[in-house]
Amino acid sequence: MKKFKKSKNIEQPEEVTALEPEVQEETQAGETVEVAGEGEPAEETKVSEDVAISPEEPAEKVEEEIPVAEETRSKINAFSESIEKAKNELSKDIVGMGDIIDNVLCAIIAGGNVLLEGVPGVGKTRLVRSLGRTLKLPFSRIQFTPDLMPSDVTGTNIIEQDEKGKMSMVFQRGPIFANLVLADEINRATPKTQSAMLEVMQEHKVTVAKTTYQLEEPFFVLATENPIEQDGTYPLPEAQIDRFMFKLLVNFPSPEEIADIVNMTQITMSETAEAVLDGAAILEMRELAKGVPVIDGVLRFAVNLVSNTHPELEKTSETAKKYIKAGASPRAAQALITCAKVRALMHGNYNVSYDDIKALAYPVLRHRIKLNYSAISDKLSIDDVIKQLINETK
Amino acid sequence: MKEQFSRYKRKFLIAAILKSAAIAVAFGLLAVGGTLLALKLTEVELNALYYAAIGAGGAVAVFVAAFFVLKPSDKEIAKALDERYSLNEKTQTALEFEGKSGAIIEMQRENAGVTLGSLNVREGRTFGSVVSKIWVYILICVLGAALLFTALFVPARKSVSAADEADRAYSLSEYERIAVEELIYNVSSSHLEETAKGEAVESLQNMYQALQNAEKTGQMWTAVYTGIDEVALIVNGLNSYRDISVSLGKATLSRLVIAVRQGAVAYREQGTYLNYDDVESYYNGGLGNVTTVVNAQTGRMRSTLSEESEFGDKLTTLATNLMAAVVDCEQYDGDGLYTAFRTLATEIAAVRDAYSVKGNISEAQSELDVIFDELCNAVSDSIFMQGYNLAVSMHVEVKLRKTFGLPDAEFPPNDGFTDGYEGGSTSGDPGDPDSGDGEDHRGGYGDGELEFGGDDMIFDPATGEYVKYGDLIAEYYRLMQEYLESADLTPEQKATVQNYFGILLSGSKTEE
Repeated sequence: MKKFKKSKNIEQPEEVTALEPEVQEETQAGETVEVAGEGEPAEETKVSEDVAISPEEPAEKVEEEIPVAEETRSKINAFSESIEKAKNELSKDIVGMGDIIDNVLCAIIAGGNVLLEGVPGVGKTRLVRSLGRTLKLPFSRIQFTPDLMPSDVTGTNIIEQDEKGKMSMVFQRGPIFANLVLADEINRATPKTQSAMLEVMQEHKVTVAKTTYQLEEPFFVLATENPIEQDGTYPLPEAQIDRFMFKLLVNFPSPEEIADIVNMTQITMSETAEAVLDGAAILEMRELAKGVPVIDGVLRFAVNLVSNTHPELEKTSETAKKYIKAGASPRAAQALITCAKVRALMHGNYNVSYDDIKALAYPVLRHRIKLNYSAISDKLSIDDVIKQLINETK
Repeated sequence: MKEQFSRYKRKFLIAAILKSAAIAVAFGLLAVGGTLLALKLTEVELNALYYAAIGAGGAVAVFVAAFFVLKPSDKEIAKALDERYSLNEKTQTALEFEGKSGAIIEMQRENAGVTLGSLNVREGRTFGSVVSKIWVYILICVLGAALLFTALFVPARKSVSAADEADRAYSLSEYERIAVEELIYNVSSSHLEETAKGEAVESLQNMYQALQNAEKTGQMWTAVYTGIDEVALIVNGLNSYRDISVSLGKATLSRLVIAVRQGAVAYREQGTYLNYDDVESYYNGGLGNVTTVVNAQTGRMRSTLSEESEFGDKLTTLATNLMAAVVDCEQYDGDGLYTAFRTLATEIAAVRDAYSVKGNISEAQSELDVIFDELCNAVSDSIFMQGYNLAVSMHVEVKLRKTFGLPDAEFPPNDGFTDGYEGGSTSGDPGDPDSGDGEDHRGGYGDGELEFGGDDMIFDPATGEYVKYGDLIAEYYRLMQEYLESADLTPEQKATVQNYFGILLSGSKTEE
């Protein structure tokens, strides 16, 4: 029986934390895994039958060997089919949010992190939980509160006594050791705790006591933040914000959608999506997307778009000069191209187009641009400014 | 993909060819039309082959240049296709990554080919999208053709020769009619001698009739010039001063020649004589100017007889010369001017005879004073009227020239005299022209033999008085310098003028 120290405010009711590659303990379906809380007796957590834990073994084995040329074609076909299946499964648990789901899937395949912003109760957490089920990925949720410590996220060394009574220091992994991490209300944690996420999000590794632990790929952080709770929140540092590939706005559902939500949740509050993708498939899709060609014109468009967000540059857009205080970093250009390739494949195209860049400009640039007072006084939203930038860019 | 792309490429090239051809044709038409129009306006004619060469050559050159400019590159074609058919940059991607390997790249290329192949290029709309805005080029061709047709029908401009001008249609205008009628009225109410006046009026009426009947400009010219000439002839027939002055000149009576001729043209100081008021103003002004001019000469003539030395001989010479002049122009017997000089001759002879008998020079001088006073008055009276006759003739000429747009009148050089006393010399005092020494003291333009010193007196027409030649020429030199400063002349021309006046100025130094 393995013991895991459970940190405060960290829910791990039915999920299992990810294990390090060297700790390859297969957890078979039905086996009970204890998740110990702080100073509390270990709680038994039953592993879902649908979530098999075997990091090195794919959930579904490929039974046939396919020639390379046809293999690519079949992979692309499978790519599209898998995406459709994932969307269908997610729609079982999520009402509406079609664009959000598309973008989240795009970011996940592209290998980026996503920041979800919306008022409470619009389904941000549910989306991520359902996504975890669909993607067959070990999922963990970190509820950020002001008293959350960095070690609560990354883990820490504890003294453990074995059966023979020998004392030793053992690293207790934190909830960050999962493939899919939900960082709920991330802006409630202190900057110190937020900074603990920086290395994880960018480099997918954790350093504790001079020891670096590599996180298993694919690794994603889906963070949520509540815009209306300004009290007791800490604005995310720009360095951390820049590490989110997308920022998606979860809007309040329409009355029809609310009715559907009510009807759905009357049946069950639990997520019912089934797994259709796994980590290996996601990694495969990612590699596949890298081969999507981008013409020079589209690349320059993306680069110019990012450059046009900087008012201090000599050749920049009028919109930037008028409304922007600080522009996007080069990561924005990387994100645009990377995600555009994925988006192209998701839509059945074999090349990146200007439409792909324009569609992705909003989630990529939304959190990377700071507006000045002129924009505020003119009552322009960040999306309005991005729209003007797109129109000005050639 | 290549094959499908090539089909579209052909379409684009055909479009470029058509556009280039349209531009070339338009340019050719514009070139020919513009050249034709320009040459027509400058009266230059060219053979039709030259126009064909200009049009064809220009069109070919423009076609080649336009095709190079309009011919789209593969990249431009791909971009146009993607934009036109919303292909999401499929064509551009396939083109840019042509020759590169990669599973997805190859799939993309294949997909692009399939997509292009699925487009129906035979549809009018598809083709029309390729050959877009062809109507603009058609419009340019139409404009070029319009310019050419305009140039073809614009009449060529031609310089109007005198013969052409004369052949131009003419009809007496209301303005001309009123002017001629006014002229006839003025002449008929003038102070011309009645017979001459009647003849002059008749000539003008004949002219008027001819003008009313004239249908061509040449006929108008003929009528007007005939009227002018006939009136001048009538006036010349009235005046005797010309012939009498020639006779006086033959007799070396320079002062009298100058007096007569300058007195006759003294009316010219009155005005331009475009208006008849100038004529009446001269007539009503009296003898003042004429008397001044005549007296200046007769006075000087008189002064030559003031000295006692050789008084008798001078009288004899003068009497002889006068008599010769009188005999020479005896056809004017009865004329006032002739009578004045005949009287002078007779009286001078009488004084000579009395002096030769009595030898009383004082008495002779007294008589001479009276004689010359009477001479001045008689000559002035006659010359005044003769000047008036000339004024009327001048008015007729100036008025008709101005009314009918003829060139301005020019006084004949030296008033037409060629006897050495052209115009009544104002070149200075010829010393003692009436000294009777047998020397030819005639002055005048182009004489070359006489030199005038700075103290020599010459007639200043501006003041009507005699002034020192040196002062007058110095003033003229000063005026010349002022004029040259702003004159539109070349340096060489200015040097010539300065040299001329310099010679005159240097020649004005008083001989010692």
